[in-house]
Amino acid sequence: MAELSIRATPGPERGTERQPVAEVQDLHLSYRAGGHPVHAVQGASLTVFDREAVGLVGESGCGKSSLARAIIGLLPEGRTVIEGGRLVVAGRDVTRLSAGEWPGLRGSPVAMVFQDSLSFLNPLMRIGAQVAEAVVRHDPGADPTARVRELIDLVRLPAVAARAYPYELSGGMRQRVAIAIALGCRPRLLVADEPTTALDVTTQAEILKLIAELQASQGMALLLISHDLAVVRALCRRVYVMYAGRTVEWGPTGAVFESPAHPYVHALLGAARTVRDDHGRFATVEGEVPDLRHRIAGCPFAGRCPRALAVCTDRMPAPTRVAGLDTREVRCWLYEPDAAP
Amino acid sequence: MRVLWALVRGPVGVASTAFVAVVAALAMAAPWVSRTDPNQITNDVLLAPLTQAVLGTDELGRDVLVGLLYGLRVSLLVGLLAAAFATLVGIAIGALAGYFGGWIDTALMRITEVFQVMPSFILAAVIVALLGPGLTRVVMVIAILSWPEAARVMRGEVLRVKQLEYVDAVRCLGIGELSVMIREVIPNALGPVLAVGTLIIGRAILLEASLSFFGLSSPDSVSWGRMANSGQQFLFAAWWLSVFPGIAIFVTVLMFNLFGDTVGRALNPRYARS
Amino acid sequence: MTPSPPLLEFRQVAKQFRQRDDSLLRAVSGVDLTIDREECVALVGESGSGKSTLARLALRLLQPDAGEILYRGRSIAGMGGAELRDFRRSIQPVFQDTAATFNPRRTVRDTLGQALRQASVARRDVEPRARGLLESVRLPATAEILDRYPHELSGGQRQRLAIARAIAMEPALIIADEPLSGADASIRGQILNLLADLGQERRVAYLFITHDLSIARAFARRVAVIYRGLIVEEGPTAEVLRRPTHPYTQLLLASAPTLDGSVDLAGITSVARGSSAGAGCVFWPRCPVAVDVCEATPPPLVATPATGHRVACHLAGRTGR
Repeated sequence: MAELSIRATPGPERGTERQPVAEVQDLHLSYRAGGHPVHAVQGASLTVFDREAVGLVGESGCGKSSLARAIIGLLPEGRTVIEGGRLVVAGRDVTRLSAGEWPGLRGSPVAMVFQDSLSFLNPLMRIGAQVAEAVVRHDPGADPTARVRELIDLVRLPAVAARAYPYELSGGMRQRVAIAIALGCRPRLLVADEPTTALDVTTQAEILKLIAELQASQGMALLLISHDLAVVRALCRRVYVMYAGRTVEWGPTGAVFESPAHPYVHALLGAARTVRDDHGRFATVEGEVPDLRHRIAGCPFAGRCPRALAVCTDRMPAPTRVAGLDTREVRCWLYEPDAAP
Repeated sequence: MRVLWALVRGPVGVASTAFVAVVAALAMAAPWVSRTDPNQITNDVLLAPLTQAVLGTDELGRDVLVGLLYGLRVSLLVGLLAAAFATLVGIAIGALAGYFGGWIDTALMRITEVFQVMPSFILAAVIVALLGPGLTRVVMVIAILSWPEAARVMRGEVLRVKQLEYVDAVRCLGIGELSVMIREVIPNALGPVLAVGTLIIGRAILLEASLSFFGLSSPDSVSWGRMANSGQQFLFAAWWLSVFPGIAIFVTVLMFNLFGDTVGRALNPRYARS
Repeated sequence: MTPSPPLLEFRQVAKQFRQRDDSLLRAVSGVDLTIDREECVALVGESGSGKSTLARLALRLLQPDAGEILYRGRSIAGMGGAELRDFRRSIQPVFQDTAATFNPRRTVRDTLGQALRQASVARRDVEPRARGLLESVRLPATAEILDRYPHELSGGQRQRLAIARAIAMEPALIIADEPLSGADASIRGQILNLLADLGQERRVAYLFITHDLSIARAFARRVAVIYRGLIVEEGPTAEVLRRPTHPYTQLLLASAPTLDGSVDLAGITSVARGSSAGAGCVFWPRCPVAVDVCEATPPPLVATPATGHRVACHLAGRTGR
């Protein structure tokens, strides 16, 4: 099978001394909205090291966006409760960071690109001015005009685009602008939340290619959040899969996608392939996602899992290594050596 | 039904809905609530409040509280009728303009603009002065001045709703354009215009009070504006003659406006459920 | 014996819209497309390709500016009365945005009831028939579901309800405009299985509009690729995807990342030759292999008789491609 030629330069293997640029340890998070709290994240962990590209995948409502926003402190204020776990960004514990302290961390070391570029950009400001804002704030030593020109060129936009207003540009071009603004902050970590979901297939390919190239050339880490497994496969060396607020399996993307350990990941990959089986049926995952308004004690997939054990509804297991590699882990009782059937 | 429950959520909703309900009941039941004739001239002239009469009496011995009660009837009557006419006309014109577009839209909107740019009070005063006072005239004048706002809001909402996919889906079932407009589009476009309608009530009450303040309303009905006007001369000696009608106008208009907000929220299906 | 006419046929259909700045947007320019009984055809294109406009033209929600659309051989533009009613029953839509596809004030029962009544179902039969429809789309056929409002259903449930409404009229053709766009991977399979089953049970043809070639590959027997209002390539799905001839089809295939990582995004070159207001091929501004004639003359849609594979490209048929 062809190796991808545009994957980011991988960092050293785990085990050697490298600092994670962002680390989430067993995060528990809920939103209060009226009567029922929604437990959006119920035990998610992930680590992103410098200069590496990590993917976070899951279906809608699995909590991946909440997790991404937690890393950059963009959770809805007043309504969000972090109930447990730790968040460490650039070596600093930010779990209980106040709203006033977060702006110091946004842009640099962590910059974010969102799905909807139209609402992200100020409709009344020219593009060039918006990029300049980022440069001026995060790159005080640089000459703003020159740097803005450089960034616009870096994202393959024509120089005249600097004078345009957001509504004059296409979706793909606006997304390039969002990337330019993020780069202007000289981030250590770029968090991209569904950056190409709203774009056409051909535009998506160009933007993904751009992100991959920039990630390598600018030496930054990338956390790519997407419901599209193929996109993550194209760009990310490692992947975390989330389901109902938990990270359930993670490891090198190729390995996880080719031989998934967790039954949900296995079912998800089957369904994502959009091919008919021998009986002419499309693979599905029967049943529905559990209601996040209730805290779930055991594994949230137990109700839909074809291989569920009795213990699965009681408790969620700790991560176990798959195939003896400490780069691949899964949270599933099927892999726990001492789980009773 | 769910809409009614939605009206009583939140302190503002409860307060304004309660106020409107109480006030409506009082207005209808006025003759039974108070046996006194508001126009009854007595010898208890210029009594201060909280003496014999709860809110005092005026220079002709008429009870202020009773006057407020009967004035409430007039204000509400005028307010509700005027707002109802204005809203109905506005709905019709706005819906036709928004749904059919094209020259119909242009023509109707130009007409709307003509009515909108007229200076309201001056026009009202002129019409009533020319045609003579009378409650029906006051109602018609206020309605004429208020419908453009309702029409605009309705048109805007119809423009938005008719783009929604379900309108096309229903067309594909073979349902005719008129039926689509009346049964699919208009009901879903009513929310904002009904909220505006309740706001018009407030403004109508205010406009009526202003007209009657200048003696342009019906001379034989009790009216808060007129009370406030005749109380002017006694402003320092018998402050209660102007202040209480003024407070009544203020509170009523405020409460109807808040009720308008509540109605707007209640009619939005997304907010009507928890 | 003359063969029966195709179910739906587009003949040189064109449609343009006047925009805010008074310029004309040619949404569809001269499209020929045929859909036979019980056939599944995928129309693949990106935003701005005109695919949704084509859907609305077929549903007679819009009138074409040129060309004609034939239903069982009869032009739909001139239809009226009973013939129009029959046409409306025969072609039903499943739209993309499940949130906006239902009247928010109608319960599930009312929505299905409205469709059933239009299908001339007697009032007393509506309730059992509605439950039957819910069963057909694998929704619980309970009073509880019937009493719900659209916003009280999940996205997947709403999509099933949209399909239920479509089949209430017992159509011959369902036009599905991106029916899977909001759906998660795990639900996609469920919806596709449902559509496939219904197609077989009820002998329904599909015009499946999508931007995703993999769905076309899995679901449709024939595929038509549309770019800026023109069909650029068309033919049996297996054939077109095995031997994509038009540069745009090739670009679509090369742009879609795959689960096994076999698509190399680095190979994509973006070409932008200025605006496409010219007289030549509609794809010329982005075409990596365009030559002079491409800028000057629009290429005709040429068929290979043996395979039924049609391509609109000056370079098709030359060796090496």
